[in-house]
Amino acid sequence: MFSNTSISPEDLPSVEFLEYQPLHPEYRQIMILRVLVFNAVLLVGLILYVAFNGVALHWIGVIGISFLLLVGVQILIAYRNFAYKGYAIREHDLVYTSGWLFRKWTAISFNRIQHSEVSQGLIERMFDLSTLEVFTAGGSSSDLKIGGLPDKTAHQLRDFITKKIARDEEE
Amino acid sequence: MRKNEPLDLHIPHRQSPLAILVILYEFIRRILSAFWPIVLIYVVRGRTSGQSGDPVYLYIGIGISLISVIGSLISYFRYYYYVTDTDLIIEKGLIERKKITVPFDRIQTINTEQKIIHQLFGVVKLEIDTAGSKKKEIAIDALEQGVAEQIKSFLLLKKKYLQEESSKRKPTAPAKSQDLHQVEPLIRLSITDLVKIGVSQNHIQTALLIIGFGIGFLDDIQEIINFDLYTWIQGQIGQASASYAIFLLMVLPFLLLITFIITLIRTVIRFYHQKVWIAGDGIQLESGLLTRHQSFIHRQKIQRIQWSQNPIKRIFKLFELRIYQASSQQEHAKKTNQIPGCYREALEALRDTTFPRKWFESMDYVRVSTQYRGRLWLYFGILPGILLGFLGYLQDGLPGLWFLVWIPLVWWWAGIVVRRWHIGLNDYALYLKHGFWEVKEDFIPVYKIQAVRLKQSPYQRSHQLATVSISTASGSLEIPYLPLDLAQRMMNYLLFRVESSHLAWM
Repeated sequence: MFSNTSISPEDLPSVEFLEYQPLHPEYRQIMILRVLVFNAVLLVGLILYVAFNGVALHWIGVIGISFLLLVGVQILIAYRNFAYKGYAIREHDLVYTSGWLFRKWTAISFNRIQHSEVSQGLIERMFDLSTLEVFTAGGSSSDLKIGGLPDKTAHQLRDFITKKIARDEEE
Repeated sequence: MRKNEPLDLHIPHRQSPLAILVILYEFIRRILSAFWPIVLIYVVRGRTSGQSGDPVYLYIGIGISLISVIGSLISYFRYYYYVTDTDLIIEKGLIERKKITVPFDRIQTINTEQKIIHQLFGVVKLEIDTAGSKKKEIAIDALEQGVAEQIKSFLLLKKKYLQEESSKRKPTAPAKSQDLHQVEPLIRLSITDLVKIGVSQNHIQTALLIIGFGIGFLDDIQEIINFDLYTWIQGQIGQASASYAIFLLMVLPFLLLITFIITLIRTVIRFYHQKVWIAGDGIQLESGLLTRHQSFIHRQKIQRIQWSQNPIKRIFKLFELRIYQASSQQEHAKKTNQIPGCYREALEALRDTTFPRKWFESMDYVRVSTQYRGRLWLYFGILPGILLGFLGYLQDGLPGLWFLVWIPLVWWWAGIVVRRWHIGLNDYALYLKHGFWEVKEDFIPVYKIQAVRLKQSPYQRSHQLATVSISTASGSLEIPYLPLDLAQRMMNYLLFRVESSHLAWM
């Protein structure tokens, strides 16, 4: 139950200074692996293009080096991004933060959650990690996706949220 | 079926036999809209070359018509609708059989629509919008008016009954079944209003649409009518190489005129004779020239409202009002209920029916940071300006540098944009005022907010700024470049209000 004393905004808990739960350390490897898989597909395309069109040798060099540079930047971003990802569960809401260069904090109140889902992709399965997705009626811009949770934690979180929603509805 | 004859919905029914014609029309329309460029080319080619069309095309034409007729007949005879205790069921399918089940409690809104073809045969299309976010809406193509009304009231009754069963503690008052057509509407658009609205519409949007379409089809059209616009213009100026600037100067007035006429026509078609009633627990809208559109907005479902004015509308003292309802994602655009022209009294009356008056009062106002101006200038002024100037210089030499005028222009624009931004907040609602030409005022009751997000780019981080993004069940809104501590306080406050609210957002 909410107490109904008057509140000044300064006293309200701020999302910026929360203790965020980090994601599982192996998730960093997954993030980097994803970058590699994506770029491998791209590379196959590039190689096929070069093979069929006959590109001059020095151009192959230029393309190759810039490709490697781009992959390097992506890996760096993925590597750094990981450290900034985290979630916090408070009494009334779920907060997720992410982004190294472009920081983001998303907060969803439990009484606005429509449903939640746990999923596991191919790469995640190898690490026994899962992704928790939380949906609101606000469309894709307000949905939360927390990857890199140990499978057990993900399910516990989902159950917790489900119970929270049910309790909110009873009130 | 007679109008007053009660309908037993529990046994399967077909649509009105006239549905065959409606389906046939839809069939042909779909085929034509898919292949119209081909048809056009053959018609024009046939005429210019002077020979009658190849018999092969005639056979293809007859074939397509035959298939359409048979297809419509089969669709009609395989289409049934009926209800069970909990669901509305539609069975249909040309080749494979499909069964669509719509639980009554999932039904969001029921609207009727009359396109010109429906008006011709005196039937209506019944559209049923459900809560499922991925599923397309369900529609029964052609029903006699009386039947449609019966189904509509039956479904609404069922829905209401189920809702009351599930939440016994707040029984809703029985809806007053009054015939609205006998009540004087709050707004009734006259022809002069319509012209005023047409004149004050956003012509730039139409111009962009035309340019988008135009460039795509220009080459096709030129080929068909055997006319080269560029050479013609070059001939007119008597210059070997007409620069783009002159080209634009010649085409622009013409484009503006077309744009103006098209928006006027669009306005008339969409909003002809718009009528707005405040009824029972919501707002009833009716409008349209060719397609008469009727819809009902439940007060509960309204997530935000926006009213706006541009300098021309200000002269006419007109406002545009948009009412955003909660809806599944794809339906967003469609579910925006637009009242393109209303005077202040009507606007206030509508505002008062949607949300209590005190929600609009005694707001605390804040502004976006002036740093925002510099950033807008950099992204939309300096960078594109330098690029344009450079390209202009390459193309035309020194005169091409005229493009650099873009840079101070954008500085001026950005200044107005930043000065316009007002953010108001009170215990009940969030109010945003923004816009350059079209000054928009958004109003969102706080308890309708679904999620709040804070964003910070590297630049914003170094200047202690942040952007607040607010999601509702009918789209998101962004408040750019607030001082960081203010943004944080706003986020926390909004969350607190959402979390402590016991009002149902829908």
